[in-house]
Amino acid sequence: MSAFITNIIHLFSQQLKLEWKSPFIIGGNLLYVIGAVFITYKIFNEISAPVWVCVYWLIFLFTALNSTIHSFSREQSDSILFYYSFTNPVVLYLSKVTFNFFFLMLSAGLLFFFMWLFLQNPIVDDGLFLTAMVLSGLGFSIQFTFVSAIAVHTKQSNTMTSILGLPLIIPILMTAVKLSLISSEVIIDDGSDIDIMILSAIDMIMFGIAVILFPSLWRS
Amino acid sequence: MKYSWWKILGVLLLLYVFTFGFLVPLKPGIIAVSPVSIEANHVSNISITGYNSNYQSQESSLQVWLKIDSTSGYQATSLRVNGERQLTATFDIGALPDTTEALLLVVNAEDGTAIRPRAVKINSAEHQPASVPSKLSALPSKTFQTKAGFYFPYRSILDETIRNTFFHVALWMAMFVLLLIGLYHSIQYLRTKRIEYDIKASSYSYAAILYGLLGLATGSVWARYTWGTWWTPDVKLNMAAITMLIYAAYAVLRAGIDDIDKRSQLSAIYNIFAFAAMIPLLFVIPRLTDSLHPGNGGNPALGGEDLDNTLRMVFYPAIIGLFLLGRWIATLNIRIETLRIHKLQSDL
Repeated sequence: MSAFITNIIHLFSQQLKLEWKSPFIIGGNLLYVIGAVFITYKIFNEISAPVWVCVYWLIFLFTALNSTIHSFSREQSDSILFYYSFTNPVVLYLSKVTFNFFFLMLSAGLLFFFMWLFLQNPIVDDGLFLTAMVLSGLGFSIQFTFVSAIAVHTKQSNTMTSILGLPLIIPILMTAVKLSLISSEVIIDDGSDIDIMILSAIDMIMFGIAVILFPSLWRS
Repeated sequence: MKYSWWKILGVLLLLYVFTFGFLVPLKPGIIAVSPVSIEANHVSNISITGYNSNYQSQESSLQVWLKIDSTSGYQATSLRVNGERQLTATFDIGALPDTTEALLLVVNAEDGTAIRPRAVKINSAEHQPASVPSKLSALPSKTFQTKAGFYFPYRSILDETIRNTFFHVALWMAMFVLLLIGLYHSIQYLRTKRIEYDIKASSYSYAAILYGLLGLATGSVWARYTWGTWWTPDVKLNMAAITMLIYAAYAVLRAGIDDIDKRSQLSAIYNIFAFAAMIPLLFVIPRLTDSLHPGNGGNPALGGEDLDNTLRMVFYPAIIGLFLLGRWIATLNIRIETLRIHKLQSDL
């Protein structure tokens, strides 16, 4: 088990180094976040709490899509061969998911900061909002990583990731939006723990299925 | 013939569903009441429009009641019948402590009891002398009787569209069974890597997509009649639409890969993944959210008053018939795809 975790950490740091070597990917994503927030600011100037929440999640969704879309397609064919021969596919998948998750959380934090800077902050219940962000970021990275692993085998892998991933992500997104609306007191609802449970349950189901299916996907 | 008995069975069941589902009349009901609001301590005339009713021929046994609570109500003091479908009832309403929405009952020997819930609102008088009697009388013990024979229940708002239960609801059930079969074949493909499982999985899933689209269409027509709009923000509708999107993505994925083995492998994996993603969509979130659909708030819609035994006698055959038809569609597609694979192999 410890070897398993060491492998994940090793691949994770490998991934980090890889990203560090081509910083334009991370930089591009950050620029995307800032640009999107600034456009929103110029269009709306002032923004009501529900619209703030919707814009926040839309930008978050497309940042997630942009950053995970290349999870597998950027790998060189020789590094794929390396992974193929030396690592357990589950380890590879977990390291990718972890990396995407941390990257998403970083983007979400920056997104929140810039939204706050330009468009104020309607969130009242910070803890609930943070929970929604972490749980949905986890769900996004689990699903998008898996879907991009499927899409990398097709001809237009980038388009295919969006086509396959967007419908699958809607339940997570809707629950997260509802939680954020509760946390900004747009809707008054004391049943937020049920939504948190739904979100965690979706994450767990998706994670379980993805871990079971990923080896057969990777071997193809 | 030996292998096609189920096709014949499916067609026969669907013929039964279409004939009985459309030809069996509804039980008598009450379409309209006017006025819908009357005053306590007054004598009021209420005109009632019936549906499938026999007011004129059953005038001798006709009784009209406004039910106030579980045991008592007001009986109409006089009735004027204008034809089989139309009557005017006169009520002598006494003092009522509170404003009440009364249930209207029209009873006669032939039709049994026709009910309209919250038909008439009785406004209590503002300055009410304590001495005024309430004039309530006890309801007869045999108020609720049903019309003898095979009739579908009459529900206000639904009216004749109650027949859509056999198509709209049954289509969703059949779709789900087809999806399950598709899922089974996808799992079998991953275990055995045999191409026929892939063909079966995709064919059953395509048939299920067709059923889902038909389910959305029949539901939309029904929503237009009962809720007044083609599409509502109701949770079940949107979840069903997302399910369709997910399976449309499955079709796009299959179209996007040329290599047959790769296509089979990836679409089988996506099918299993999509099915797992669909379970919270169709079975968890709608149960926890308010819905306009019957049976919301925790319990499924099957059972209770909404589906009585006469409806069941058509509804269950409808599910089986539609499923068998879907299987037929899928097998046709399987045969086409198998021939296509054979042709590819012989071309090589």
